[in-house]
Amino acid sequence: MKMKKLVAMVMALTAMGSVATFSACGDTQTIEIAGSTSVQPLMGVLADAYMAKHDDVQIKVEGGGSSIGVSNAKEGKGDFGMASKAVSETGVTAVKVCDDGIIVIVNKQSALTDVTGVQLFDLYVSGTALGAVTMPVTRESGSGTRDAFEGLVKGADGTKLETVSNRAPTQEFSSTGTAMTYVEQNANALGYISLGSYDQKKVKKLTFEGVEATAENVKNGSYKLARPFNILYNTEKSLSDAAQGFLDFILSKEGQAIVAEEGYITL
Amino acid sequence: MVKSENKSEKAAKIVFITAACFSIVAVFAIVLFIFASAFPALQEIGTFKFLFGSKWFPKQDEYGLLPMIVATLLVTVSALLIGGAFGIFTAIFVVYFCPKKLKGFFNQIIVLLAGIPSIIYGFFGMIVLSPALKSLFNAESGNGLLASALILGLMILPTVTSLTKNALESVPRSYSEGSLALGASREQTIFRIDLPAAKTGVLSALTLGAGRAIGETMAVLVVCGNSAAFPDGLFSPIRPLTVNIVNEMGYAMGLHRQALFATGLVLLVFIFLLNGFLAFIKREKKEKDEANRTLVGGGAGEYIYKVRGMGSKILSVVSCLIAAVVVLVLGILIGYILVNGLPEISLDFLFGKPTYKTPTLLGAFVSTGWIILLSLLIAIPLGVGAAIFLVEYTKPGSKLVKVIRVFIDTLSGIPSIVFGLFGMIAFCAGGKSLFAGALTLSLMILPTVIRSVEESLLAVQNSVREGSLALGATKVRTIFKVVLPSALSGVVTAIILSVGRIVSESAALIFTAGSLPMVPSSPLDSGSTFAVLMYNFTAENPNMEAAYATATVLLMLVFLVNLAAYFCEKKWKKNK
Amino acid sequence: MKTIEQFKFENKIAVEIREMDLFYGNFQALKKINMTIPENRITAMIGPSGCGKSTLLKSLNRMNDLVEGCRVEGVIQIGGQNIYDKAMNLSMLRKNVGMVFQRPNPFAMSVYDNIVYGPRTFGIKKKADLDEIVERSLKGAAMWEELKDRLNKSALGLSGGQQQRLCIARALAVEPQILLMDEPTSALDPISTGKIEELCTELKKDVTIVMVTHNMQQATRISDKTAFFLLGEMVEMGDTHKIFSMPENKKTEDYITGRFG
Repeated sequence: MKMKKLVAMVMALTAMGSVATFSACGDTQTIEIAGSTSVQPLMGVLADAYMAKHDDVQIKVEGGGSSIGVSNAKEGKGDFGMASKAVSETGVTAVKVCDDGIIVIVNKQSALTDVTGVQLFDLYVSGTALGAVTMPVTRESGSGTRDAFEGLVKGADGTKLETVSNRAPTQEFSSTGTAMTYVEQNANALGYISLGSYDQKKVKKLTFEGVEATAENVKNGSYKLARPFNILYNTEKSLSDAAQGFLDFILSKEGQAIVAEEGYITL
Repeated sequence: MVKSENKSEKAAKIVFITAACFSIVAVFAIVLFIFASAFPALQEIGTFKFLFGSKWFPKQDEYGLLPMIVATLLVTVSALLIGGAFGIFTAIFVVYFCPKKLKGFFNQIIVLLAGIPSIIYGFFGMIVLSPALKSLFNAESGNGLLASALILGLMILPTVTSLTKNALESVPRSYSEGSLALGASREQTIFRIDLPAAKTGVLSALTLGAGRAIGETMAVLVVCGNSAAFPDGLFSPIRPLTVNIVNEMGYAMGLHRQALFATGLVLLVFIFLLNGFLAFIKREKKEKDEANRTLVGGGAGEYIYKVRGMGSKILSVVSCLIAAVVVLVLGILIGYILVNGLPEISLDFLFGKPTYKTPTLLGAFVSTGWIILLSLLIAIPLGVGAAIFLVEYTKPGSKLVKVIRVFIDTLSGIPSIVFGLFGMIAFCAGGKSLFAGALTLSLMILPTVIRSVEESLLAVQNSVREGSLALGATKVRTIFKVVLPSALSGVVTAIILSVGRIVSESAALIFTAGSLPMVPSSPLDSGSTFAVLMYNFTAENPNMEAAYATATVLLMLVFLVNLAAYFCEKKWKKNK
Repeated sequence: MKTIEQFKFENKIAVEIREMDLFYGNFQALKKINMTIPENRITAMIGPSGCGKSTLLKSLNRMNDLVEGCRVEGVIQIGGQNIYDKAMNLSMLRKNVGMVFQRPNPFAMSVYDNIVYGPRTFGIKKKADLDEIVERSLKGAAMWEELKDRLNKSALGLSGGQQQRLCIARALAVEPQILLMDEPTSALDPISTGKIEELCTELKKDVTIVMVTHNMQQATRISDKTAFFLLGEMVEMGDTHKIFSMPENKKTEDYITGRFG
């Protein structure tokens, strides 16, 4: 008798599960996108907008970092990769989606307003304090934002940050979001994140060498810390209809309007 | 025993043996797969350089694990000191000083503490503990060694408490009565007689606690500070081995990825060493040949007897205080989350369609449901089969049983992140899926299922079995028609405990089932459970409102599971 | 730290029990017990199972306090002090009123540590003192020759009889004035039983012994006074030889002649 009850419960659960499943099922086409966590928020908004208009398409946007985006595209894994830096790999086609600034952020309580490349270099390499700021925040080793940042920040003698391996201790985070949260919670922290992810309720952005970090200044080239957002795919593999449709959408006026709305720099 | 072995009997026996040996296969498979993935890294980097190198800089192909090994060891030892001490004292309180009316309450507190998902502990550390430490000590950051040790200590406390409690309750009354009759106070008796008598049990409790601490990922993830550097103070950021894996696996490739598997291998080795230590403690101690003692003599002859025991009295008060602190901390944890989370819960958040900008829990309901169902479908038959073999088909003390048990215990000690790594290699060839997550979790819950069912099978009187066999029924028929139905409570307990474990699990699912808040279209699709979404909202894409709300829902699920377990236990007790 | 005094016995009376009732919850286990236990004698308590003798014994050192719902009314005076008075110090009571249990319960320690456990509890620390106590106690329990070369060996390695005598030695280590023995030989073989009975006869010179026994022959062998209990009441008490030859109460006579068990 008790056995029968158990079996009945199991069948009910299975039925419930199936119903839930089939309600989401249908002729769904899936687009799988993975890569840069800086591009991820923008891609999510674009995906939301596209899925709202196309009921039969499911778009999966995962993080993992620009390196994953590049390697996935190279191996033909998934539909698209995302990278928050310039990409030139054989076998990979890179389509620029927009430009993005890298902003230097500090805690809202900080007195800092401006920072130079040399100051950043010294802070990240030797831990040289910048006023009350003593803790540099960085991104994980596969991060496109980190690659871009360390390629643009140079020391007094012109050495690029990315070539220096002996570093002072830093706090390392594997996404824009977590890096921003840390700076939000620590008065002595300084970090760098995507301009489009900037939330002025949480952190304060600094000017870089006197130039304010805005979309216009990135577009006109006066703000130097900038990099492209690229969508990547394998050159040999042909895109599925759904994927092609989504890519067209991103590059269209509608897509670019969303890009601008989110705080990125349109093509 | 009536031996009527015809073909179907033999077949059944083979099925049961296979189920029982599955644990052996599983352990071997896990070790093999991890080792195979790790070996290339060890070869290329050099095992010595890997283990003792002091720089972890994947960007420049530097893979030195030492800072992380040191971090894991330091955090584990400190967590053990804190959680162990608090756990033992709480157990002392519950066994000896707790008023009868509150005993049930405290037992439920321990069960609740044990059931809270580790990601929630991490969350608690992030929102309450770290900020508190920061302001209390005027530190630059509340994260780091101290915060990790405190949270881990809190996490292993229920394990230490319940095992110590069992050990203390097993000390025969005649023992403590002997001490009391000599004039020792209750407190003196506890610390000089009961506790030493329960030494083996307490040591086992601490060892198991250490195992949990070493393998814990989610609880320390957000409070450790995440810097691959040597700890040099209570608040310096560190990175335990587990955190190293989970943080970088998302984007690691090539040698880096293999190095992470090697990190998992190191974890496994630590756990196996601990298991070996545990077995060493538990083995029968031979009487040591003590050299004889010669008496000095020349005593006073007349003695003054004084009432002593201040020390023990103080320790007893400490026990009560500690128990109160534990309840208080639990209250703060639950209170904070509920107060901040309940307002965030809306029907829309629970069941609305999730978008990337506004995630909802609908996907979590579906994903969790599927994973529970599939994991149970796999683990329950396997576990019941194994338990049947261990109880019905073997003689007590048989070598095969001992070997199988060792492997079952080993399986239950493996850290969840290592299960995740295994699941990644073994089940995710086609990408992440709920099914892969379920396969991974079924391995994790298997030991619990076996243990529960075994216990209830053992409770069935032999006379019942003999009665059936004497009537001419075959062994298999006896098992299924007579024994198993009586042991149903064990199966139900196994199901409830497993559901609790599945609901709380995150580290093993992130890389097997996925972490996106979307609604999965089928079990072959990827999806996140509630706990994994918590991880997403706290560590991957910080979203405090969603985190609080998800934490609240998770807590409610844990309450529900505990309630179910409580009522089932009451029901079975009534029937006895 | 309070010093523990001894009880002062007057008129050669160790224990006086007046109008004592004992309840386990709603069940009354002892009814209106009136009894006097003489100093330096062996008093035996006999009676069928469940009649309350062990319960009464455990009341004398308040080990009954450990039982849930146990309530005592009436007066038990030792050395003129009511031991159920709130001001009674339990450590003092139990140091002066020792107990040997039905089943030997040595601690999982060496012989030496078992014996010095009591003294250590009461603050005696010097090795010379402890050593002297060990020798004295073992001699008092007639175990010195047997165990003097095995002081560091675990007590659990001894035979049942040896363990019980060790427990007696352990109890003697704190110099009790009264020794309560709850069927001390019921779990032992005849030879060990004989040794312990011999021991008691020696001990009574220094210690008042109250013994519960199921074995009437044992009572006749060694006790000076015997009290017969039935269904929670003390039926009769008197000199042992008188109780067993000319009992005043018919129920006593029925019991000792074996009409009921």
